[in-house]
Amino acid sequence: MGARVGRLRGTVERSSRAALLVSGLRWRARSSLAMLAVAVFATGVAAFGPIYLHSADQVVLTGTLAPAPPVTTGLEFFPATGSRTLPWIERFVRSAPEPAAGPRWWGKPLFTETAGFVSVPANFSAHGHTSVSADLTTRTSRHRVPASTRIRLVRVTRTPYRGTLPFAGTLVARTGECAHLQIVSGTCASGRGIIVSTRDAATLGVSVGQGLRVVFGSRGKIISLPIVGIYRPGNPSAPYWWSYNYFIYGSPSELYTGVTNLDAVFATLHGLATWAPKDRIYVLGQVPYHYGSLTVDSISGFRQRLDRYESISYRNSGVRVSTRLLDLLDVAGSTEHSAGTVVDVVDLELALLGIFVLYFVANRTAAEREPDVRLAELRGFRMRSTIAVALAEPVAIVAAAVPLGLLIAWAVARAAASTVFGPGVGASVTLLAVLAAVVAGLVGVGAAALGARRSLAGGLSAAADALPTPGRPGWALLGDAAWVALAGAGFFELVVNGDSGGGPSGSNPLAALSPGLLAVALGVLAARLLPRALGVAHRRTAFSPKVAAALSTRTVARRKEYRTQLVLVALAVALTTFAVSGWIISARNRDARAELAVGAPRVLDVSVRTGTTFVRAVRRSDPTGRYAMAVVVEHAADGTTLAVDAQRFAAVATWPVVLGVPAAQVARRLRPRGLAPQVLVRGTAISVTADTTGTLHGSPELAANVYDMNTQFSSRVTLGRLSPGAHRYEGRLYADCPGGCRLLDLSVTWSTKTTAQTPTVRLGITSLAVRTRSAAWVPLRAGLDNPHLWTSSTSDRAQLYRSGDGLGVRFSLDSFGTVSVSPADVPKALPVVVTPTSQSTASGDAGPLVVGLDGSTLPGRQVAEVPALPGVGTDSVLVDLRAAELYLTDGFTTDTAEVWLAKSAPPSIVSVLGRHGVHVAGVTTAAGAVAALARSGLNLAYLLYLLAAAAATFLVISATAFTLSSAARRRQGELSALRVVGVDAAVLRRAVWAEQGLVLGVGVLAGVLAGAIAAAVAIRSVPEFVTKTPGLPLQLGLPVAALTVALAALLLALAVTVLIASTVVVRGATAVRLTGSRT
Amino acid sequence: MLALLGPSGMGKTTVLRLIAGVMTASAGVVRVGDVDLRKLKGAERRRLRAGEISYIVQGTWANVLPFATTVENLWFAQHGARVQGRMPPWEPHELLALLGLSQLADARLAELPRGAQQLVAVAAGMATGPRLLLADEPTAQLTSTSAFNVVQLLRHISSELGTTVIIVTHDHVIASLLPRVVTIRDGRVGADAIRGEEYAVVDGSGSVQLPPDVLQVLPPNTRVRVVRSPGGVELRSPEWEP
Repeated sequence: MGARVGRLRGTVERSSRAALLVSGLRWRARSSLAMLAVAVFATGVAAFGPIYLHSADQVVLTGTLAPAPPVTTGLEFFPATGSRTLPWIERFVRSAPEPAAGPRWWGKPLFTETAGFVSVPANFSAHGHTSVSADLTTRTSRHRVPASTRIRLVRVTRTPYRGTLPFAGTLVARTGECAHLQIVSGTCASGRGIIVSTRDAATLGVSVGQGLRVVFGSRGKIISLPIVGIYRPGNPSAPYWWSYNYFIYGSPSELYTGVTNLDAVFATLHGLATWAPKDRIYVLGQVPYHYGSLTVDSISGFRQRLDRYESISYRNSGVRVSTRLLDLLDVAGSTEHSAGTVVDVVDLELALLGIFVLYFVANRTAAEREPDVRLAELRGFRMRSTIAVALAEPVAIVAAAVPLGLLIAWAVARAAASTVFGPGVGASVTLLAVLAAVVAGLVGVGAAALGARRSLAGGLSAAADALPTPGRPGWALLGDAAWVALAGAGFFELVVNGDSGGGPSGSNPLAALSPGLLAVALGVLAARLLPRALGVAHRRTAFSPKVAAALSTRTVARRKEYRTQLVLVALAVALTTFAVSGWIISARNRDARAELAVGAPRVLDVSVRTGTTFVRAVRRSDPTGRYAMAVVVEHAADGTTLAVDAQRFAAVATWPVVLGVPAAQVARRLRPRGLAPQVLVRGTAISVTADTTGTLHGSPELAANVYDMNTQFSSRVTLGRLSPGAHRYEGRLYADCPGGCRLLDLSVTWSTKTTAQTPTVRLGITSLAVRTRSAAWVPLRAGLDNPHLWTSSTSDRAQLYRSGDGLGVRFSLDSFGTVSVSPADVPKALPVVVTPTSQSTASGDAGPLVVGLDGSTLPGRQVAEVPALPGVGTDSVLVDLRAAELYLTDGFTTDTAEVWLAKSAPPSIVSVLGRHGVHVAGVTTAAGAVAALARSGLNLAYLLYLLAAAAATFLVISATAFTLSSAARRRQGELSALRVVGVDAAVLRRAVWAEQGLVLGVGVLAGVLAGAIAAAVAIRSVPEFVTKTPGLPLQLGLPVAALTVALAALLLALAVTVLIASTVVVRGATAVRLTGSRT
Repeated sequence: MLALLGPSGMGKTTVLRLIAGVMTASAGVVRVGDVDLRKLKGAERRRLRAGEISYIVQGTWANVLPFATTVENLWFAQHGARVQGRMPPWEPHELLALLGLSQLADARLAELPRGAQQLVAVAAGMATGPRLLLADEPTAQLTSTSAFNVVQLLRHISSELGTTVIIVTHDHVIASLLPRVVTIRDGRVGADAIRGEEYAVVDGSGSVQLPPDVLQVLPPNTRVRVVRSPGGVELRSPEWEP
């Protein structure tokens, strides 16, 4: 019974206590709400940081994984040793670890089977076996290229097929291969046959319907693989190929000395299994990563499961599982760490500001709860209970603020997520966010308790005795000195060691803290000095007619709360100045960086239809020449060559002024001058009429080399052996040059037998002609009558001169065995714009060396030097595309073809390009690059800084308004007393305005100063603000906009305070005087 | 039941604070019952205020929580006793019934008339069942009716509940309603009136404060002879002697 009564009494106690608490909160609704708002702010910002960081981390993770090719993010399965079957590897591929719930980690698997072979020459009559004896099954893996570089086919030194040479090749069957090969003739590989590349077909002299005779392994039988199609590689750099280079035609075999490789020969999985011996088949499984399936929360579990799967697969079954995804996750983790540091600092700064304001508000409102505390003392409450009375409300408010702040933080983050982080990124309350809110709440309770200590200080007897509570100026001075010392140390550290931007350590947290530290230090100094200065001012105005000035200086000089207010204002303004400065600088550099990185407002990745001349097609698509430009990018180990259509370069490309030389001037310099016109050949045969004199030893043979610009294929046309006298030499053109062939040269080759003498030969070329499809011979305009329009690569042994109406060539039949003359339509050195990096890495004796469009090294002539080039950065050179094409003589190139578009390009340009044979495979925009950069981890972190600054300003203005409002009643009493003694209301109003103006003005001044100093010193050490676009000079000038924002903050604060001062304080004081009541 | 009467600044409130243990006497002895307050520590004084002594300070709002109801105020007043381990003799509702204030039970203090607020303040002072109730100017700023009601309540407390009540007032009318009135002059007891009969009081040093009408006859610094007579003690001035 007694226990029940006790429980009942306990319940009543609790409910009574709760009812009293709620009643008290309602009674002091204004201050309770103010405290709640500030506490919610403090706990909210504390929770917002982790929530924001979680979303930012997800953006960083997605941003790191999204652009990575499958070869980097996917899984590869292959047997550790020996040869295995497809079903065997398939079993492991299908059992790759997947999450228990949510989107799958892995996409549709790809399977590849390869089997090395050696082609058997047509005239090889051996039955049964070949003489080659090496295992070719693993050859493709040796041609794996780093994922970071694009695949470029090796430069082909064309080997004319004589019908007697074997070639090394690989029979490849890969899931979905037909979608990634351009079938030029026939059909794609089927169970009944294979497909070979155009180069293989030309070299081997085979076509659709014929067979490719091969042998697998050392003792394999010769079998004939039926050819059902001829292909060209679509895009060897496409992610589909996983960075394996299957197109290595012309490169020397690594296994057979003197044997040349063919491009891969493709078959179906079934076909390959039919033809190749099982022990020669190399099997490979690949599983692409399913983008977006990994989240920052699932990474840890993913790592563990993948590690376990890798080790178990290898230990139990001998399957190697390979991936570089974990390395990428480490990279993302590193970026997240840098961003996290900044977010933590900003969050901490803002939360501390919130708690500081909470203390400020609690301190200002403590007087309202003082009667309750006194009553508790009067009623004999124990000290503990008295403290509970004093702190119950602040604690309850802060406790309520924790979930509220958490909820609001989540709601704000969720609402802003799509705007800040991009679509598909949400916001979730993490454990860290909850902990941060709770910790902020606990610290807030401490701050509120500290602020409310005034109601406890002194006690009942002191209140009864009306004794003033003695202050402790020593502690305050010590605290202020600590702030100043801390700021000074931080400032010194930044000045001396602050330039850590771009380093491996990432951002400098001190840089993010610097405005806060400096602002508090300057604010504290100002708060200490201002009363003294105003004391002097007051002495001068005390007995003058300037009543408002005297009142305001006296009030500000004597009231301690103004000091706190001044520090708060300085802090908020400093944060704003710094954040806005940093943001503007960051945005400016980010835009410049993105635009320069992309190269033009819009860049189209294109593929060019066979038979289409790229530059011509783009020019036709944009006849105005104002918005579209053909570009070819050649990536090589020695650097990158950016080949542009110089005619359109200035109109289309992004070319910042900071690069120095104007774009138009660069374009003009790029175009070579004084070149002979090209000799273009269109027809079925070519003829040369020449008059030969001299002794002809070694059976010299005349030939013409022509280059098909459409197929990027050169061919040698044999015109016949020279014989004395005037003769007409004819030869059939390969493939008829339907799109036009360029005459590369005319050459004479002879056998180099040792003779006592080297007879001199004179060759007078009088005409060139081409036979059209209608069998008529049409003379070519070749400028034969002008020797200056011709040149010889063997000029030391062949002299050119005018011979009647033709071109005379005098040469000796020496041991070199060949001479050639060619139209002087190729510049001796390619005009090139270099960067300091490219100049230092690739320079020849006579000038810079340039990687040509076919990968060969060309002589260059520097026409300008700039810090960086659009689209390709620093280690690169810029050339004219038309001029670079003149050097192409053989083989097809796989450079990246792009079309750069100016802002004015119409939307229809894509379809127009398509009509001209240029198909768009992908689009990159400068705006997209800017957006991507804006969503980088550090940038998102500093966006939070900007938001924090805005929030801080709002908080401080609100706190100022609240303080003014809460002190209104007391001020009304004072002012009404002044009214009684005859001070005019207008004077009082001016005095109140002047008070606020003094505090806010000095606070803003200190804040702007602190923010500006912090920006000047710290921004250079914050990577995102100054992320270095290689070569681009940084612009770190303090933007006027930052000062404008600070001024706007001041005006807003002034407006608020003036409004409150006018309506609440002064008007209230007048009312007090009139009514004589203070209710 | 006792009233301390005297003009402002004479030390009435100070006496009350000394008795309540809110202030500490710098000299002399303050004894409540057997307890010498000067020897008590802060916690012991608080314990005393939580039970034996109740102090109603001047001004209603210093004695009650304006945002709470009457019952809540009584509960709050008892809370100090409870946490000190002393159970109040009655629940709030019981006390209100005893004092005839049940109609105010659920009313919020801020919404009550001033007179009723002061009644609740007195009731809150009685919430712990103290043996000594100290009330500083309990009728200040009240209408005469309200003031009378408050005095009636205090008399009821004294007579029915057996609580010793000391009130401080400067209002002679209020003081006249009480059975005993001690007049304070210049920090000393000037007079002690019991049931309308006023007496001078001889203090510890043998001094007696003369009533104002006697002071007119014997102004300060007048030399008198103190003579013991069969009816008492007489003051005789030499100037009057033949």
